[in-house]
Amino acid sequence: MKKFLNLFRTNLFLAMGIIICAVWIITAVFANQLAPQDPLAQDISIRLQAPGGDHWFGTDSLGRDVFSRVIAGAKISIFAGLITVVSAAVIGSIYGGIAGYAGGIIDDVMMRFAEMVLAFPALILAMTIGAVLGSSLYNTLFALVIVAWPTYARIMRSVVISIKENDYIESSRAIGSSNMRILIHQILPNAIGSVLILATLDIGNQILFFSTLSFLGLGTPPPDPEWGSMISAGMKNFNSWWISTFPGLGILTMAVGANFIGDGVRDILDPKLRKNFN
Amino acid sequence: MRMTEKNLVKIDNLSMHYKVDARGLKKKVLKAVDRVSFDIFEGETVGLVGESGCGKSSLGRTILNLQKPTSGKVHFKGVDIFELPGNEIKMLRKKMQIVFQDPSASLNPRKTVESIILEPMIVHKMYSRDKRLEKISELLGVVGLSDYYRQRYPHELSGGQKQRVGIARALSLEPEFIVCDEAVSALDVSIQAQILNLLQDLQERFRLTYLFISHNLNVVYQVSDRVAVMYLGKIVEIATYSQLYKNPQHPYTKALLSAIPHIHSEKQVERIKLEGDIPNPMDIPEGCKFRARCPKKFDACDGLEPELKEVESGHFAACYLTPN
Repeated sequence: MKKFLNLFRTNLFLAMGIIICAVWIITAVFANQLAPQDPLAQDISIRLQAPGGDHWFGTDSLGRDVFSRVIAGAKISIFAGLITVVSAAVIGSIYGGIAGYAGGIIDDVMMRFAEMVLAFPALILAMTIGAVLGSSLYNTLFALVIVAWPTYARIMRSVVISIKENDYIESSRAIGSSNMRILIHQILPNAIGSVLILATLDIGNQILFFSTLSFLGLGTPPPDPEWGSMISAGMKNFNSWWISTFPGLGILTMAVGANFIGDGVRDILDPKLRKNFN
Repeated sequence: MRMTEKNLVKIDNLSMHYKVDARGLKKKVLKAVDRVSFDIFEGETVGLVGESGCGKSSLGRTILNLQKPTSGKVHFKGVDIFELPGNEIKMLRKKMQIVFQDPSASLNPRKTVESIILEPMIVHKMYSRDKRLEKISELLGVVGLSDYYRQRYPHELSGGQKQRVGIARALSLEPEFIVCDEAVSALDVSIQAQILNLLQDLQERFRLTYLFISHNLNVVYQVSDRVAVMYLGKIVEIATYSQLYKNPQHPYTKALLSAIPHIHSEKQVERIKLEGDIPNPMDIPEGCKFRARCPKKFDACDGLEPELKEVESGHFAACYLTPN
């Protein structure tokens, strides 16, 4: 705890990021207990009420409590965002790292394949995969990962190519390190920063992309609350700003929090930027 | 400086050609090292001089089997290093090490000094855990750094300190042969002298053999027993330090020597200025490679390329003007 307080002093943004994300994750886990009202309960008589009174964030077009729906929606949205980004980042980094390090024809073949995936319109590709596999949460997540990983592969590849030209890689070869060892111990610590930043920025994107698919009928079915579909529902009731603003703030804060963490972790990994933790 | 006649490294007709822009239609070949042969004896320092881009570093790295040569052989203690199976190459790496030019680039910025020196011992599974840590203190002491630096990162050290860490890392495997690839070129002059002294002390202490690559003749003279002069991928002259200094044979060597400034003007020989440019290394004309810039060129130079000839005992030069 003392260490954490110290973090506030030395790296405020990292500490804030941890708090924001922790709050959201706790909210998501205990959504059922925290929501003051049933997020699915409809009451047409109180539809489109502005924030205030019983409904802190107002009600939507079916009279459901927006506050409870934002809390309940955190569950699926954050889960989808994190799973997609983590899987895509891990798969893409390994793939791109190998391509960049191996170079030559292996690099060419691997990257042309990645670019092939990238060349498809992302939404249509994800829809096709989702439709072929059937509509379920995990199939949709799978489709999202398929669409997302090539970006990470490209970033990782370019970073690895620039790092592997350094003398310390040659030096590691000169002492007899295996390729595996060089990749993990020499290249990875220097390359991870860029991927980390991309990944944390990507969380917000992936939450939105997931909702686009939900909106199209892949992923979560309509009555279940989910941030993205709440935003698109709000667009139909443009005068009732609260319907889409609050889930939008949810995505924003989650993305910003993740980004703070990514930034902070990168600083800690880089000895030149590292602040003193004592 | 010690000299034995025991051959440690034998470089035999070694060539390293790079394909430049291999994706284009016209494949060009850069002959970075072209049929080079010479021997390095146990316990000596061979200096390798030449201007930038003449293939010094390529030669050094090929000798260490960091890249496969186009043709030719290198024998280390009588064993052909390019024919070794994978597991024995790893053993070879223990015996041959390299110290790099730019100490900031040759140390991983994300690793502490301790883990940089530790890595070779982990890779080769040397010693027990505790012994390794002890060994690090010992190595730091050997290169003149205190234990204070163990947990430091490279960016917290000065250039000279970084180079000392690089040397400690190379020494951790207890090698017999070290290629110093421009090991002091990136350092200030006063630091250069310190590192050169350190290298010489270490040579005495651990019976090391050096191949000392540099573009700086003064530096090479300070440490070398023998000096090889390289021009466009070829060794044009190789001799002991005093032979080369007193009796240079190749016009290129003479020009290089005349460029060393002296404090006393009476010692200053007349400066030979080389005219013209280095030929495009991807398109070197037939005949002597130096002839485009040679002040003494004559008809024979256009014909075949001159081979190294023995001028006096242990002194070889590749020029048609050398006396037989």
